[in-house]
Amino acid sequence: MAKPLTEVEPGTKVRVVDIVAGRGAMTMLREVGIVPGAELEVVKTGPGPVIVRVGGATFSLGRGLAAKVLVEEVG
Amino acid sequence: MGKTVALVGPPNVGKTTLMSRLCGVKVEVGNWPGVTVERKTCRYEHGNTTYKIVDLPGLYSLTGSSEDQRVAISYLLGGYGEKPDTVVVVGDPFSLERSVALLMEVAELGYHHLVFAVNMMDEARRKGIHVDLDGLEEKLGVPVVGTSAKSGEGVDRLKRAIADVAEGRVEPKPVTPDYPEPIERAVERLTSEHGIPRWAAIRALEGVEEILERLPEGVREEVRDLRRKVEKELGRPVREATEDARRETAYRIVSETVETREDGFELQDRLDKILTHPVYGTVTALTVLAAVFWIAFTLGGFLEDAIDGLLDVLKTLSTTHLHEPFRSLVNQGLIEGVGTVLSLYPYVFLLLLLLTMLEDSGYTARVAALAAPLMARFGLHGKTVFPVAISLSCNVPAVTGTRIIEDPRARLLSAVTIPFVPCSARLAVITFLTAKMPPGLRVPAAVAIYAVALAAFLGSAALLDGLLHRGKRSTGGHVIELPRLRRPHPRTVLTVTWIRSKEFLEKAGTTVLAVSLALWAASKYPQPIGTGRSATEVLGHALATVTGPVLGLGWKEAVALVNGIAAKETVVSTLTMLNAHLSPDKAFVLALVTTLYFPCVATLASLWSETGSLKWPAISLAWSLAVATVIGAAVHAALTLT
Ligand SMILES: Nc1nc2c(ncn2[C@@H]2O[C@H](COP(=O)(O)OP(=O)(O)O)[C@@H](O)[C@H]2O)c(=O)[nH]1
Ligand SMILES: [Mg+2]
Repeated sequence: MAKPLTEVEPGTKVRVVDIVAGRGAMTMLREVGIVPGAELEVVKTGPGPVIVRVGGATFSLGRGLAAKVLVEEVG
Repeated sequence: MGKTVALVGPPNVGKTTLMSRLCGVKVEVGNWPGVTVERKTCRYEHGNTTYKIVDLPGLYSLTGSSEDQRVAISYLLGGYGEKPDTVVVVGDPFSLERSVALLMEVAELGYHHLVFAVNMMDEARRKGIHVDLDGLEEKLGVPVVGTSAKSGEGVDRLKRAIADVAEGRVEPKPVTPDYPEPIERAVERLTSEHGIPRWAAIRALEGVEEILERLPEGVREEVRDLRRKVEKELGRPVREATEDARRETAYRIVSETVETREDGFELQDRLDKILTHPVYGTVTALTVLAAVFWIAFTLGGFLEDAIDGLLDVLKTLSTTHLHEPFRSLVNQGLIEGVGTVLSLYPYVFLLLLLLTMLEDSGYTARVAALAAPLMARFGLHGKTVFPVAISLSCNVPAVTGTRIIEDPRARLLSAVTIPFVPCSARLAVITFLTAKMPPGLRVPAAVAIYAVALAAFLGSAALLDGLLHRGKRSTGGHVIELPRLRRPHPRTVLTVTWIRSKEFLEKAGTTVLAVSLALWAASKYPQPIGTGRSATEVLGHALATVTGPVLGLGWKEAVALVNGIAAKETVVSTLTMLNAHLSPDKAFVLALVTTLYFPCVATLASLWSETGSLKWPAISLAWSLAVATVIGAAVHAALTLT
């Protein structure tokens, strides 16, 4: 079941299912490899910014932005 | 004969550190022509050849359209009148995929003279990460060298690999990703029918302007048609499909060659949860900031005393050995003017040293992430924290530094309002003037001035945001990379601190010296000071008719403010040379006004080139004068009442 990135338990691995955001936000996310199909490790979901790891690099995402990233848990 | 080598890689993989390892400290810093993206170059000898290294801006990919990325693409395509003979793609073992994907992108710009450097091998070993360098070399098809810019390990091997490739002793055959069928078919058609190289065909289909421009008119049309057809078949833009293909290939290669231990991030993750927590994180940030200022002021004070002692000795020497007018020239112009400013250098150095340490440790990025929602409220971006941190040293590079902010709205706002943040020159003025206050009030007064300046910065941003984009709120969306938390690296920190702080010393030898000499002359002619007929007094008394009633500032302070337009430090030298005695109240008002009243000339110039119009420097100037007058007058009035 897909849910927003903000609602995932920290420590889980997820796969991006869809991103429902405008062009600007989409570009920012693509740039760092957050695209549908990508696997993320969720480090922190709240309070404050959301932190994820993509391919060994760690990124902080604004909550509004993170809520637009729909993910499902893997493994 | 000389060879040119470009360093390419994502931010924070150690490109700049590696560069200084290759060349020693002789790094030249400048700007890319036409834009204000920083350009670093250096040279070294190897064999009988001179190698020129060019450090390109940090990039996640070459497909983006930010200023930095355009500079890099344009440079690699020869747009700046030179093309590198060899490109070194730099990566770190923690996120090697990104660099591998980048390598494929660079290869697709037509480069096969490539070397791949896996930097930070020291840290990888410590974290139990194993990189199969030979396997990587075989899969990538280019020479791979493991390095540590921190210890210098592998740097000689890197030089050898560069030489082998640059001189054609080794012919790399870089890996190409597997693209979806429709793209491969279109590429095939362009290469066989029009003789376009494979790499150019791919980039043209992606819609890269720089490549399309170079194609003949007819072919360009055909590429557009092909692209539309392919995108219809794929159901998505070509660029996305190729990016994904590169990413997948990169991921496969890295998963086959890098063994990661899963728990390498445990401590960092625990810390990050605290550091970016709205409550704990904020408390930490404020404590750290307070500690930074406290250390800089306390230690700085000792060092300043030492320098002052030295200056006194010099003054005694000149008084006993020199005759007029040389005696007053040396005593006033040099020692009181330039010397007083120089004695404040320890504060500047210490503050910058501590701030650079925080940056190098990765902490500044956490503050940026934490501050993002707050900044958004003022129309600014979380990344504004980085230029603000630079701003504390000097506003000029900070205005340029706003380029890291992608959102053009937030970038303009930051550039225009950031000059309110007190730079090191103003730190010198604040330190000098608050020293005229009772000991217990000095630090609180300095802190109050910084707080007012910060409020002016944020308030102006909010106001401007409201005027420019009525109703449209910025979303506060941000993506900020959090570099790995680590112990600051002394060599890097010292180098960066020196580069940032040497401007203060250079200004002391140029602007401050010039203004001090001019003031010395203006105080001696046409009649010596004290007669009321010196040029200085005439100007000062005229200005004091305004500054007196409004701000409570006399003619000497008025002259200091005029001189401060060139560089704020000269406020200090002017007051010393005119032998101004300031009451605590006056000193406080003057420090406040000096901090706010005028971005220095260099900052205005930088703002001009950054926004491309004279409108913004003019607005910034008028606005800061108004803010300084209103706040200064209010504080003066309040102090007179009590
Ligand atoms: N442990 C370790 N740290 C490094 C190494 N190279 C660079 N660093 C650190 O990595 C950070 C980023 O380096 P920098 O050269 O600014 O990266 P750039 O953004 O790619 O130019 C700095 O804190 C460096 O001190 C290395 O080989 N080992
Ligand atoms: Mg760099």
